[in-house]
Amino acid sequence: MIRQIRLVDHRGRDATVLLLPVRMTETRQSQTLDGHPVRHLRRLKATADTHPDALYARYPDPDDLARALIDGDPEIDRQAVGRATGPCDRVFLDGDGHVCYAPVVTEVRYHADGTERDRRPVGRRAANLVSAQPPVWSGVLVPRREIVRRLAFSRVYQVTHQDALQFDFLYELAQYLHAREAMVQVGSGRQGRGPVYCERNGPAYRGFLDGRINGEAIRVVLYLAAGELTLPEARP
Amino acid sequence: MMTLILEVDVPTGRSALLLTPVDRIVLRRHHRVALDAQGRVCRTAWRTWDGMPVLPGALADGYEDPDGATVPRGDVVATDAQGRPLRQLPATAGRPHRLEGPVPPDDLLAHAVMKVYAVTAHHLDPALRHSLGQGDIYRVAFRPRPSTSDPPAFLLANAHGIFLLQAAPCRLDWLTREQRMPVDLFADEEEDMPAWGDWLADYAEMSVEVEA
Repeated sequence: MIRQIRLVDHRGRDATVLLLPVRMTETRQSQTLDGHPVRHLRRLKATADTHPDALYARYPDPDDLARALIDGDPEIDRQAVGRATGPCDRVFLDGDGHVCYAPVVTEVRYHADGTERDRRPVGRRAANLVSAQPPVWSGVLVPRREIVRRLAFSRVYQVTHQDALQFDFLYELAQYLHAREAMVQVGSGRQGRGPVYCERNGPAYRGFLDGRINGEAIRVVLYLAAGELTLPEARP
Repeated sequence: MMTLILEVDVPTGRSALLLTPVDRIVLRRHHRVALDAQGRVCRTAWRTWDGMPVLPGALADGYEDPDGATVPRGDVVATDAQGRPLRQLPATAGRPHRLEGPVPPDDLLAHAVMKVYAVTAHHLDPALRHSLGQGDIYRVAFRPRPSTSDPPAFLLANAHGIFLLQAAPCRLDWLTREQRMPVDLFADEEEDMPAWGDWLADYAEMSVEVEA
């Protein structure tokens, strides 16, 4: 699925355009030294009963554990060990080691020094790339040289068009940013500076839009940052 | 927390940088946990297709040939899409590397940040410190462990300190009016790889099946 984003330009016009992921990925394969193909697989080493955690719980005394390991091989389940796992689902395990089907997701907040501040339940947060309300031009322009030293942009998307009208919209936006050699903040809220959520209940990002023109060509890129470049002890 | 040392050469001298991974939780100042009915923190695990729970650390990676025979890891080489073996590049620790730059910010903007390290200067050349303080950005090779890929890292400073950003290259194209988005071509290329800062998407991906 291609993502979309609803953007607004400096003149207050808005348009819904496309976001292309642009991170380059390497296609790798594996083979033997003499060129024969191999496939990767995962095999089971231990079950829930033979896992070291379970053994430590069953034999709290290290001497008892050592004796049990020598005498009975409780760390090996001969029926299961070595089998290929095949497709797996990710699950949560509760405090007793059983599958927890309805965990309560809680947000833990931290002080500047990294100690826990409080916990609060997580509400449902919808993705807001395409907002129901027209987005707001934030007007926050930051020079590229400055912004790359403030934020760590972990997600990068190329903004692209599907038709000529969208291209004209993006061209003027790119022209505006290109002339100022700056990036503009994009986001939610009444000032257009709020967090960007790409997925429902996903992480919050700060978004910045970069625009360049080269003759008749444009390059508009959305950069998303999850956090500022700062050290814990440097926080106020 | 693992600390790494990166030695870099600049024309005025050599610097040794002590690198400490920046904790994403502290940077963001919040994270999410899943609690069970008694309020205890849940652990994540896997469940096989036939319902067996698999705890962290209970899996072993391996390779097998088309006949199902296990192939020792030492006999396996990585290749590119065309089947050409990829060269294993050594880790960057233990020998000095040339610092390229200053590079323009556009160079960094052509990458996505994968990991952030805080730099504690073990020994920092005064000219390099001054240059970083002026806002210059440098590029350097950085591989914490031997690897077949060679993503760059960028060294920069701000008011809070000096940072090394490990980055992955991005493909940014110039688009013209006629170059409309070929939607079909990109339909399956949605970004699924975890990015730096995406760790808390974990809980939202409970139902994603993983091909082992």
